[in-house]
Amino acid sequence: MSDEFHLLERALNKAEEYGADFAEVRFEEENRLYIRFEREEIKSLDVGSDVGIGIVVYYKGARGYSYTSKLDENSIDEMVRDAIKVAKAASSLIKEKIEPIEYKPEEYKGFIPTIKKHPKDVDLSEKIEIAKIGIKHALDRGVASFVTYYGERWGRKVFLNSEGLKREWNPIIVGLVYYAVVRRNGNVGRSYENVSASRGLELFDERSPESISEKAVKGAFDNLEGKVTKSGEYPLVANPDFAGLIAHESFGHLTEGDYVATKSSILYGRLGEKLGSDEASILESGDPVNYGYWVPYDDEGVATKTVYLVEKGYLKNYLHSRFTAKMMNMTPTGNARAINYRFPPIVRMRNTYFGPGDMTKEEVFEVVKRGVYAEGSMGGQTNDIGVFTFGANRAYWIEDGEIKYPLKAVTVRGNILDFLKNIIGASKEVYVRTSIRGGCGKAMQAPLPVGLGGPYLAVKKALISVGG
Amino acid sequence: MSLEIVAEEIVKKGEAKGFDEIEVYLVRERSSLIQIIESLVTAKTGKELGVGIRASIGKKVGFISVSTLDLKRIDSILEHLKSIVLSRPEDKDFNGFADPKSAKHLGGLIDESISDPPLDEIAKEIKVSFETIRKLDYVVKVEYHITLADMEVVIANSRNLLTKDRMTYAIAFSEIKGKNETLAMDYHASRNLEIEKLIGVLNKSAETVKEFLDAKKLTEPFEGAAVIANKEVPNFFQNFIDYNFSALNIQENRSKFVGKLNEKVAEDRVTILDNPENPNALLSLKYDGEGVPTYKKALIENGVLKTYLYDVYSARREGKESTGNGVRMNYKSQPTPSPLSVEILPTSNKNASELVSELDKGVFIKGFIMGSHMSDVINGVFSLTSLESYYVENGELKYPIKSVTITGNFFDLLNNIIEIGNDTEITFGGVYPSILVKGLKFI
Repeated sequence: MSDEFHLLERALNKAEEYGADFAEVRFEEENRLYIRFEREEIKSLDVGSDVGIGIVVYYKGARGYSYTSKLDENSIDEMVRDAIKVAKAASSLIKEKIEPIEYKPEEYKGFIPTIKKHPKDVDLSEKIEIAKIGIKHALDRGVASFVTYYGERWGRKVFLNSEGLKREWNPIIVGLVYYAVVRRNGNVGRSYENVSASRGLELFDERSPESISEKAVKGAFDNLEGKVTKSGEYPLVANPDFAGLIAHESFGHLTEGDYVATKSSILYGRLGEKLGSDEASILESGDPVNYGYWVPYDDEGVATKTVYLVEKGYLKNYLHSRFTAKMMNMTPTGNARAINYRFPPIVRMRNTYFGPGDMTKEEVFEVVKRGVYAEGSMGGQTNDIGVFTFGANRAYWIEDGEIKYPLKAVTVRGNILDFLKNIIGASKEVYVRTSIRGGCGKAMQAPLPVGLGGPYLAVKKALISVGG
Repeated sequence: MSLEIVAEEIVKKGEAKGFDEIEVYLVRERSSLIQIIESLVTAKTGKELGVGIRASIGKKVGFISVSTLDLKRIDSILEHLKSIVLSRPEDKDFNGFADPKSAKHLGGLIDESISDPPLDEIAKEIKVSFETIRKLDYVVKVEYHITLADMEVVIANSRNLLTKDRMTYAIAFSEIKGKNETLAMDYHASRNLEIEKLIGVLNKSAETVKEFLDAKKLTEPFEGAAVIANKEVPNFFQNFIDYNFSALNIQENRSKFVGKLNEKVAEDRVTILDNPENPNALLSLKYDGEGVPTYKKALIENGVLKTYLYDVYSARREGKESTGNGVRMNYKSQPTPSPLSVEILPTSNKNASELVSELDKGVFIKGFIMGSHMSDVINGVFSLTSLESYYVENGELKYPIKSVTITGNFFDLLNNIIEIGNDTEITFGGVYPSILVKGLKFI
C-alpha cells in the first residue's frame, strides 16, 4: 500500500475519532509544464508540481474543509482537527443539518484513454521540437506574429471516504495552441487553433503540428480578407466548438445543482418542460468522447455518467454533487469537482456538448442554405438569465448551402432558450474538445479543464453582427 | 525545522548539484475562508508550504516550483531543474541574483489573531447580519466571503542572502442582488482582523441595493467631471501604473513612459508613491520577491516622473541597483518589476462627498466597477462599467444611475486631476484617496 493510502486512512480514522459523521479525503499530485513561444523563441517555461491532501468532514450537521501540502502524520492530524474546527464554525450559519445523499458505488463505464507517449517519458527537447514544427510552417507562410503554447498537466488522484469507497485514477491533458496574426496593406487578421486532449503526445501524430498551425494561419488570412455585411438576423451553422461554447457557458451553468438549489437559476422547477426544438439535445459527460477531458470519477468518488441535460428539447436533468443532490432529493451525477486539493468540490461541468442529429455535415449547410457559418470562439459573455454574446474565431458566408467567402469579426447574440427553439438540424458526427489553455472558472476555482463540443448545428435564425 | 534552515539546505544542495547560482523562495501560508451563498455554506482552512527555485549555469537560467517540501524529493526536483536550465538559451543580460542587504524599515503590521482566527465568533457575527439582510423584502440573493491569511516568506540564495518576512491580512467581500435587477458589491481589506468592518460590507451592499431600486438610465451621454470614490480609484490607475513603470517594459520599449524620466507626465499637484513602508498597506513587506530591501519612493512627484521600477535583472541590465520591486504573485511565479503599494498623496483635506459638492455636472463613481482587466495598458484606454454611480448636478446627487459606462485615457487622466481628497482607503494594490477628475465620457 502506498504512503498516500496510509495517510488518507489515517485522516479518516482521525475524523471518526473526532466525531465526524462522514468524511472524504483526497490525495492529489499534478505536474505541469507550459512553454510559451513568440515566433521561435521560448519566452517562458513554467514547470511545477503540486501535491497535497484535502479532507471534507460532516460534523454535527455542518461541513468543513481543510488541506495541507505537508504530507506527514502530524500535518494530517492537524488538518483533520482544522476541518472539524471550521465545520463547528459553519454550524452556526446553517439552517438545516446537511449530509451527502446516499450513493451506491458503481464503476465508470466510459472510454478510458490509453496513453502511448506519456509526457513524463518524453524529453523537454522533444516537446519543444513538436511545437517548432508548426512554428516553422507558420513563419514560412509569412505571419506577422505567432505565439505558441505547449502545455501538459498530469498526475494522480486517490480518493477514500468513510463508507469504504476507494478510487484512484491518473488525470492527463496535453495540448498545443497556435495564435497567428497576419498583416497586409494595413489590414490585420487573427485566428488561433487549439488541439488538446486527455491523451499522450501521440495526439500530435494524429493531429500534426503543421496541420494545426495551418488552420490558425489560414484562419488569420481569411479574417484579414473577411468581408463585412449588414448586421441582423441570419440563419446560422455553428461548428462543434462554437456550439460547445454555447452549451457550456449559456446553458450548462444554469443546470448546476448549487445554482438550482439556491433558486438562482432560471431553470429552477422546470424539469420536464420543453425548452427547445426536437433537434435540441445537450449532454454532459465525464467521457472525453474524442478530444474532451477525461473525468472517470468526480471528487466525491462518484463514477461519472453521461447525462442528458436536454433531450429532444425537454429539460431532463440538473448537475449534482452528493451534497446538492441531497438538497434537492435527486441523484448525484458525478459533477462534484475541485480544481485542486486546496478546495472542496463544488458542482462543475465536465464535457458539455450538443447531441448528434441524423444529418451529414453537408446536409446541415444545405438546410441553412444562406447565412453565416461560425467556427470556434473568440471570447464573449453570458449572464445568469441566458443572454449571450460570443465572438467567432473564424466565420464565413454560406450561399446555396456552401461556404462562399470569409466574414470579418462575427459576433452571435441571443438568448439560450430562443437558440434552443431555433435548432433545425444537427450532424451525426460530434467533436468534443478540451483546452490546455483556460478552462472554466467558478468560485475562485479556475481554470478547471472541461470539454466543449457538439455536432455541426443548423440554426433557423440568430442575431449576428459582422465587422465588429 | 525552521524555514530558514530548509531554504539554506536547498541552496547548499543546489550548489553541490553544479548550479553556479541558486535562489530559493519559500512561502508558508495558513488561510481560512468562510463563504455563504444563500443557504450554501463553505468553511475551509489549510496550510501550504510552497517553494520556487531559480538557478543558473553560466548565462542559462531556469525556474521550477513545487507545492510541498519533502526534503527527500529535493534531489530529484533539483535534477529536473538542471535539465530545464540546460535547455534554456543563454541570456546575456543575466548577471546573477540579489546581494544581501539589510532591511530599511520594519515591515507591515502583523495581527497574531489571524494565524488562529476566532472562526466561531466570526461565523456568529456573519449570521446576525446575513439573516437580517436576507429578510429585507427587496433583497433577492446574498453572497459573502471572508478570507484570513498569515504568510511567511523566506528567501535564500547562493550569495549568502537570507531574508524573512511575514504578513497577515483579512479580506471580506459581499454581493447582494436586489429587486429591479439591482446588484451591489463591497469589500474590506486590512492587515488586521477588523471584524466589525469586515462584516459591515454586508450592510453597506444592502443599503446600496435599496438606493438603486429606482435607479435611472442617464438621459444622454456626456463628457464631464467625476468624483471617483477611494476604493474605485485603483480601477482607473493600478493596471496602468503596474505596467508602464516596469523597467522591463521600458527596456523592451513597450511602455508609454519610455524616455519620460524627469519629464512632466501629470498635473503639478499629482504625487504618486510606491510606499511599502506604510505598515497598514495590505501587502507591505520588508523585502521584495528576490530578498532586496523595499523602500518608499516617488513614482511621480509634482507631476514629474521620478523613477522606473527595477528588479535585479532589469537593474543590472543598465548597471543600476534594484529598487526593491521584484514582485512575485506567489511561489509559482518569477519576480517581475511592479509597484508594491501605490499611494496618491492628498491635495486637500476633503472626503468624497465634499469633493462631490464641488462638481457642477458629472458623476460620482461610487462602486461596482467591471472591465478594468480589459483596459489597454499600453495606450491607456479604459472602458469601465459601474453599477453604483450617481448623476451629480450643482454639487448634489440627483439620482442613482442604472449602469453607466465610463471611458477615458489614463495618460490624459493624470493631467486632468483637479483635486485629491485625504479619505484614504486600503485596497488590494495600495492606499488610495477619492479624487476629482475631468475629461471622462459617460454613456
